[in-house]
Amino acid sequence: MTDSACPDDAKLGELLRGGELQVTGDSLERHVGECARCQARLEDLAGAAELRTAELARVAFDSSSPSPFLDQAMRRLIEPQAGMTPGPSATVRQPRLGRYEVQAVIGAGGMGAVFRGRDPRLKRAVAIKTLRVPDGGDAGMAERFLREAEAIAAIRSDYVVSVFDLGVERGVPFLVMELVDGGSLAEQIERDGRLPFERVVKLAKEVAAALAAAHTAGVIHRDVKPRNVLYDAEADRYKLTDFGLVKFQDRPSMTATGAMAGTPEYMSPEQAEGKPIDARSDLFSLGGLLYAACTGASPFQAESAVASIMRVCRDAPRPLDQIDRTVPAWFAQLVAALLEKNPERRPGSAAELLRSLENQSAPAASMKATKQRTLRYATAGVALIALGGVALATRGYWSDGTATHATNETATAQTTGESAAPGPFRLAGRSTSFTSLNAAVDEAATGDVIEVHGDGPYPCLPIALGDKALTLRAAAAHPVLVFTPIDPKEAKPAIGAANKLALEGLELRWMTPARASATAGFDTLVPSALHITGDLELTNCIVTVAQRNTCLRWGGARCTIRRSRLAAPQGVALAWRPKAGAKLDIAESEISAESCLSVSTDASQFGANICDVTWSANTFTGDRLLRLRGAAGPKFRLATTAERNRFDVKNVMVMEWTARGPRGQERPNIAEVRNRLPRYVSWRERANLYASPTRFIAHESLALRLATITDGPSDIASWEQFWGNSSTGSIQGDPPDSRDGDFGAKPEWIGPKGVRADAGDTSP
Amino acid sequence: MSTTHPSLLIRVRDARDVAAWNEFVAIYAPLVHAYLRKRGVQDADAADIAQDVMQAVSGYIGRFDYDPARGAFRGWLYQITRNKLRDWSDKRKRQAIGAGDTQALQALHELPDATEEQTWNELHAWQLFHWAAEKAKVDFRDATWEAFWRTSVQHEPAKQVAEQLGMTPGAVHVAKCRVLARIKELLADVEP
Repeated sequence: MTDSACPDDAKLGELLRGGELQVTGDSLERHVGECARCQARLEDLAGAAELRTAELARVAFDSSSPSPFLDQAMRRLIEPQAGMTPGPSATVRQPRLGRYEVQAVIGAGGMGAVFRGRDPRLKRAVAIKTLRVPDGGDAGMAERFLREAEAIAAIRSDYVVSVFDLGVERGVPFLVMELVDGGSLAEQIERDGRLPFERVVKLAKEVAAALAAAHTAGVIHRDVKPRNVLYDAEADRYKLTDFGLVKFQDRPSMTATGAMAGTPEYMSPEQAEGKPIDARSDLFSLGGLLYAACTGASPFQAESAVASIMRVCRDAPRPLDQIDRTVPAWFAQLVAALLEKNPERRPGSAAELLRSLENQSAPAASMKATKQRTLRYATAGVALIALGGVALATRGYWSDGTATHATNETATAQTTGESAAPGPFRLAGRSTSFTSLNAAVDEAATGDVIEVHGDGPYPCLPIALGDKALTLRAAAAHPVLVFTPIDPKEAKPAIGAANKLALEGLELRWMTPARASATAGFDTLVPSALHITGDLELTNCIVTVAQRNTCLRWGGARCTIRRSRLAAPQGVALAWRPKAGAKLDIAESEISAESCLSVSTDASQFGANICDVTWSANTFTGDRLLRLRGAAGPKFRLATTAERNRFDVKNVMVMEWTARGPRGQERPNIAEVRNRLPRYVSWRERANLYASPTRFIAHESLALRLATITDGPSDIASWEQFWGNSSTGSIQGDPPDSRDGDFGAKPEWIGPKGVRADAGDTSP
Repeated sequence: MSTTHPSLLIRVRDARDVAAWNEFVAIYAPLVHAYLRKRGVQDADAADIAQDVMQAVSGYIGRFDYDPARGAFRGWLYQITRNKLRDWSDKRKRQAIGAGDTQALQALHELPDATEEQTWNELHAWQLFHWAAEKAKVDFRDATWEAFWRTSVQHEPAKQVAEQLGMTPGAVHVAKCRVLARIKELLADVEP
């Protein structure tokens, strides 16, 4: 191009501000496409130099992935736009609601916001709660709210957060309440895991008293849950708040998005089903709350609101005294009665409940017995941990080859350190028993079977088996093994093995402390409950982890999972780095995790590793079923066969690449993903049930923080077509929440049995 | 870059301007968070500290502790962030049980100051750019925006992008520059 053909600045400026570009382009546009000088001029005019995009890109690839914690923090910071009005004098900075000064946001949620405020007339601090009015507002709502609030204000109890005043400001209703400093029960549970039993009894009595007062005043709470129980530290008292407010929640948006405004974990079954409720609904919720206070989690906790509701309606929670032996039988029975699905079988009223709580816990003798039991359990726990420590230390000696008498020491500790009662861990075919699993593992030789007797829970320290092949088997009951790390900052697995490991009938809980998951900011070490590089057989087992931790990290040749449950609420259930020829077989199991199966390779692996994956009659819940990742593209090929599974996931296959790779880094667009996917996965299926809506194929680029891109098959027919299959008999179901409370009518959604019955119609 | 155009930073000083505050949080909370993550603070803690920083800013900004004439907002926010990080790390040190420092704390002490501030400045530039780019999205057709993103951020050759999007290479250049110009406008409304 010659200079004379170049447009002047004015022309270029027009180009910059012009209307939509045409696909074919005019001559000026064509010129810019070919003339480097004009390209540079155009960039100058746009001010591109100041933006220094070349440098920005480097930062972009380093930027972190989206953070739910940050989202939460931002939600807490952002203020609701309506209802904030300036005070009488414009020079006063303080916004006001009615006569109250609004000072700071304490919290914001689906229902509205809570502010710390001040009553200038009475000169006292107050809490002000505003109620969010749904878009396209319901004119009568504010009025109904006020009538309801009057009823709440009439409740008189030391265990209820007092309502001082109420009003409506510019259509936004608000409540002025007693300010309770000391956090909520939810925060206590989150912080401490669970409450000591005496505190649980205190809590039970106080919430029962609050409910008794409310029910007498004709108010049903409808939303009894740990977040609505505040702790008044000054008075050492629990106080119930937010009576009846749940009624005013924005129901239409709730069903439209499929996300519930509140948590349904504490709802009663009749409430979840949308049936009329009475005071006994609150008693059910109280049962769930007490369960959570004893165990650290609601008995109906699940990955999604829908799954939670199904558990509320179907599951009978495990009795409390089976989970924690320090809980006396009477209390476990009481909570079980509160959690009866049929309201007729629950205690008659909150007052009646309060009386039986007082009768049970009042006699000095029974309290004392409980205390003793607690104490004995606690000392036994300490002894076990001490023993485990010795065992670990001695193994260290072993590997140095310096202290050959180490095993004798351990053995002596077992025979002298504990009472004559046999320990729960036994080596099959031998007479010795052990009080700790760690001691038993140390004593076992490769090929041994360790039997676990009784229910537990047994505290255990992390076990590193190395090349020792072992079987750990429940003798009769369903024992619970609770693994706790010695150093909470360590990311060691509960059980690490390089050889064959078989686990039968055990429940493994991996108790890493809250927030230890990302290991001090370096995301490379996500703790996993099981880290197995050999073969693994998991039968009738439950593996649960907290936070974003992983249930199972596996890299062996064979892995068989039968009738088991893997639950990693915010993490990965099975993280797999596939070896060539590996076989993964999961049947009749329940996998719930953010990512159910995450397959990854690193750049050091060459060639395609062809692996078999077989899934039959499982239930998968969570965000992603299959996550495929690897720097510079995966190095595997999964031959997958799936039949009679229920895939209750948001995304079926998600491809993920790290964009920080070498020069050949891959950041494919969705069209490329569609083209490439069949190179990594072959998918054969029959009679599966998919949630609706489901995204079948999605791509995520972590480094660029772009939203998930999706343009893949959107229904079963195109999904089958994508894989070149025809009529697999798989179907897509409506999630029950789209039909507003009517969950009973479609039983095929409940459990793998339903899937089978349904699939029977279509399979040959 | 110094004018007295009523920017977001001015607007946010008015406690009644809720929209300004929300926008402010949307831009700067992720910046503080990203910086802390870079410094080795784990996700949840970084979010907590970011919240503290934002709350501190909301207190100071109305009480004229921040004087826009005296220095760039960027540096001022950096100081607050550092102070809050130090408070947090002191608190954490007092709570630390026996076994010594966490990796995060070690990382904290090892980084020299100059690198830190450079990291902060880079993240600041990126976060503002990224925020503005997302905001500019609604002003353009998808293809226009994608042409911009792929050429200026992902550094794909214009010719290749043009082919895949069915545009001429010239159109790709124009698209890129149009979005960049819009981004500049948006940024001028934030930090003058």
